[in-house]
Amino acid sequence: MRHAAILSLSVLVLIPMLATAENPPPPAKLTEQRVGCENNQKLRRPLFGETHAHTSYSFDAVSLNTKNPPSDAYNYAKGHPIKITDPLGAQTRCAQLARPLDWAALTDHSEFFGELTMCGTSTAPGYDSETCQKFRANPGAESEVWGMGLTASTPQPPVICAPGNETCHQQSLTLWKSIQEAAEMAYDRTAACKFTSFIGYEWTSMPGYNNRHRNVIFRNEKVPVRPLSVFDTSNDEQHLWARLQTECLDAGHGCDVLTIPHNGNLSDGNLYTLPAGADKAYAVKRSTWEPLSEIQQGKGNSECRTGVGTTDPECGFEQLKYHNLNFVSFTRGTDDKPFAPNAFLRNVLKEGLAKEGTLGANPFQLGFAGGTDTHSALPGGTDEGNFQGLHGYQTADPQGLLSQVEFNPGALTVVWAEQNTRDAIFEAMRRRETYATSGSRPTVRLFAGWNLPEGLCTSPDFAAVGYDQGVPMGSSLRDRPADVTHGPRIAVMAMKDPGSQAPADPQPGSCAVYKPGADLQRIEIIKGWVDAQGMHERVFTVAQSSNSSLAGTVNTATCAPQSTNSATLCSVWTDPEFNSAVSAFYYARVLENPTCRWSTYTCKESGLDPFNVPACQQHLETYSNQAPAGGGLSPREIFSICCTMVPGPVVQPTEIPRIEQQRAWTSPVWYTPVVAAKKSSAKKSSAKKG
Amino acid sequence: MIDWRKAPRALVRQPGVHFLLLGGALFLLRAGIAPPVPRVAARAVPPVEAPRAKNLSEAPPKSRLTDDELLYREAVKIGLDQEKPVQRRLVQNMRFLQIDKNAGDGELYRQAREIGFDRTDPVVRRFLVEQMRLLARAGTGPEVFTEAELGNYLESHQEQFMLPVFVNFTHVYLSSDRRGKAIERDARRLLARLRAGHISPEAAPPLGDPFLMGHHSGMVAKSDLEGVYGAGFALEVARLPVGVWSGPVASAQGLHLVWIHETREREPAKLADVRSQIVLALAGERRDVRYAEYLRRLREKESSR
Repeated sequence: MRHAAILSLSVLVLIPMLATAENPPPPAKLTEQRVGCENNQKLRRPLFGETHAHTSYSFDAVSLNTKNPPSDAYNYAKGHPIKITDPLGAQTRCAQLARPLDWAALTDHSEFFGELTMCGTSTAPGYDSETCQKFRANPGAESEVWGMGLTASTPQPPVICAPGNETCHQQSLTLWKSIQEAAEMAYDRTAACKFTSFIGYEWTSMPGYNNRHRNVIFRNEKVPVRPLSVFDTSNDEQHLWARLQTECLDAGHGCDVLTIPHNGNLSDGNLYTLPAGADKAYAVKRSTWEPLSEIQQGKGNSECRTGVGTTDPECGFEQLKYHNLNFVSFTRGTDDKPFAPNAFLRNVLKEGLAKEGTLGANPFQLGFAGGTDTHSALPGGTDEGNFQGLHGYQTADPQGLLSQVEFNPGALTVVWAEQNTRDAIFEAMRRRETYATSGSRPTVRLFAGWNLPEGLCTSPDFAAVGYDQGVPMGSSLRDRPADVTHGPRIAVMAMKDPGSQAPADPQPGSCAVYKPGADLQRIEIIKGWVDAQGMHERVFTVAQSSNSSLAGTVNTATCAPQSTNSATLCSVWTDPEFNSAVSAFYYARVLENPTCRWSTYTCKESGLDPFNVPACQQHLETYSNQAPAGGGLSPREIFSICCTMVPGPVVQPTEIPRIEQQRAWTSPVWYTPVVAAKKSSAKKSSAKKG
Repeated sequence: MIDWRKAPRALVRQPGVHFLLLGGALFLLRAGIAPPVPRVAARAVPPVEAPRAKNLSEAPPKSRLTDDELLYREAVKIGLDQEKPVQRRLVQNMRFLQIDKNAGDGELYRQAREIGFDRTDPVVRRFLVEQMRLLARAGTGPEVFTEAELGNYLESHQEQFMLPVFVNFTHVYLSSDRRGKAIERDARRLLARLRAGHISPEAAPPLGDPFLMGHHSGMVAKSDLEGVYGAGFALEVARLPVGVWSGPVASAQGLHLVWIHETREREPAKLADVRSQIVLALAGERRDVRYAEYLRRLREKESSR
């Protein structure tokens, strides 16, 4: 009661100050014809979505026996049950989200749109070609050949595309039109604004298997006549941007677009590199085209890696052992070189600060996005308790355990937008007011400023004050007022994932799996900075549950999360080591209580309990030790992984944990010293004069 | 020169023919590789003359011919078998068989037709059938619908285009973290105070704890609430009475005392807001109807022979 009284008093003290907090952020510009949403929050709300999903319109998804087109993927994202392929290629598996997404961008590989149309439509030219005959006979093997063609330094389309790729260009229009129609059908243009679809594709640059992929996402239905592939642009993303500039931004019909790079972890350092001669104009262009980067997806985490520029113990989370997309060569043991520092975003953000000092602008001012990279037409299928596998017939159930065990269900992108429309979400992505989650759905809000009240956590108007007296996640801090002597203040508040609950009237054919959300364990602020001594980082724990023990957070029999920690956490933190002469970035990482990893659920489904090693080993003895006739591992060898999972956080990427802490990462805020900023604008003005 | 009297027997012995037959069989067995989205040809399908005395609403008499056979025959009748893809395929077959290495494309095409490949080659047959399907489904220009058609579609698919229930509320939040075991007691006491004191929704929120999403919801649908508060809260709030303090309602974060300002029942969407979706749906339906009608007339014509 005393606590409540103090709280009420502090609120009353704050009220006069909050009376001036009436400066809501401006709404998104309207670029499409549609009715406004009933739910229109001036101070914005979190919208859960994803930016990276493939359907049967991707050549490699076809090779994995995925048969679900974009319309199915949207139905899944909206919470409807769909049938997907099983290991034998039949459409028998049921998949359904327990909670629909608010929005999704489908991003099929634009390479081979034309070829897929040609090889699948008997009336199309090239249908009878050798290429198409091979593809139809063995799509898996042939698509690997196509994919290998993408690893060339100058990728060339298959011969069926004729000189200049003209035939395939023409044929690609069929799928491109179908993608647009599916997006239109899925988009809720009524005032209910229940779901937003985005037209997009994935541009698949991967010279030497080093991932340089970009997801290209369009703001509205006004899109170029046809999608661009690496066959049109070469492997150079600058050519992609140049063509998008001409064919979208300068086309004069209201087209707008951005690109999102992903899987720095599989790029061998080639995703975030600067071309020779990069200057300030390049840096500005890059950060404009690419406001976001994927920090997590099904094929691993790209935030950081323990031992690669950091000693942060949380950087062992969902790491892959591979340097690039050439998984095969690595498993043969040919790849044992160290990881490139700029394969991971935290290091790239530091590099951005360093480049800002030399170029006059930060080329890597990247906010965070998350996606699944599903190749099974399952956008947003990130629930560890109901993971269907990323790769078509390679399922995450016992049959496919080993094929998927190093992968994870993927991540989500959460945008803070005033309403659930394309314009509002797109602008949120552009201004980086986003956070990514490793798949769960906590709500996280962050503001940074010089004069944010230290008592903001007890304010009833956290967001109003945050916008009025600070900047949201993804922004650059305003100049420090002359009368302020302390470092920047970061206010961060998080609420637990509420989880999902079975409806009283489930849809016919429903197969969703419902479960409660996990409590919050702690909030950290990660600071990175660059000075004359080099690049630095430090992790500050700024809020922590009063029960700091992680014991008992999971019911080891059922994997159900136990409520032992916090439903909400909040902190207003002032950087104690601030040096006003040094550029820095800050982002928040919110860690939930540990929960079962998806592979633990799968092992339990097979009667093998990773939490009880003796029983697990005993039961494993009942599995056949006989390798299949065609070669490969015996069931006992496959499932032995269930009995060797490690109990705690993973450091070595060869280890699979029983439990892990799902998390969220806010887009950073950046501080640039006034002197540096002035110097760069002076340079600009003298260059103009010159 | 080819001895055409011996050609059929010689052909049967050719490994190439075996390959073609096997290939054809495989072709027919193939499952859809990529979604077959119709390519609208630049020609219109000629109408099938309907038998004058018959009512189109009657079920057509059964024919022994399959749909594919009917479509194939019609394709030949209107000359689709003369089109370039067929020519290319037949020439390709002949080159593969190496019967006449010196012949040009025109001559090989003539020879292929003479042998009867245009009738027996499964790829050609499939091509012609699919081409007919596309032609039968395609219209002569962009699909245009009247306002009445669009309105009728909306009316007959009202459930698909219903707007959800909306609710607008203010809540006083009690944090489970801050209040621990006392939360239920605090909630009961505060609810009594709100009711007894006739405390307005504007004045009440500071009496509770701060909430990340604020205290005034604006107009929100149930699905908007589920993401932050949880499904149970969303369900319960939608049932509360207007204009009184209710609760406590549990969420993932604690308890809430709720004042409902307004609820709006489900209502159908306005045509203007779902027009593009209805146009796409109607276009698909119209293509299906066109094809069904075309096939029906073909069948009737076949039966009347």
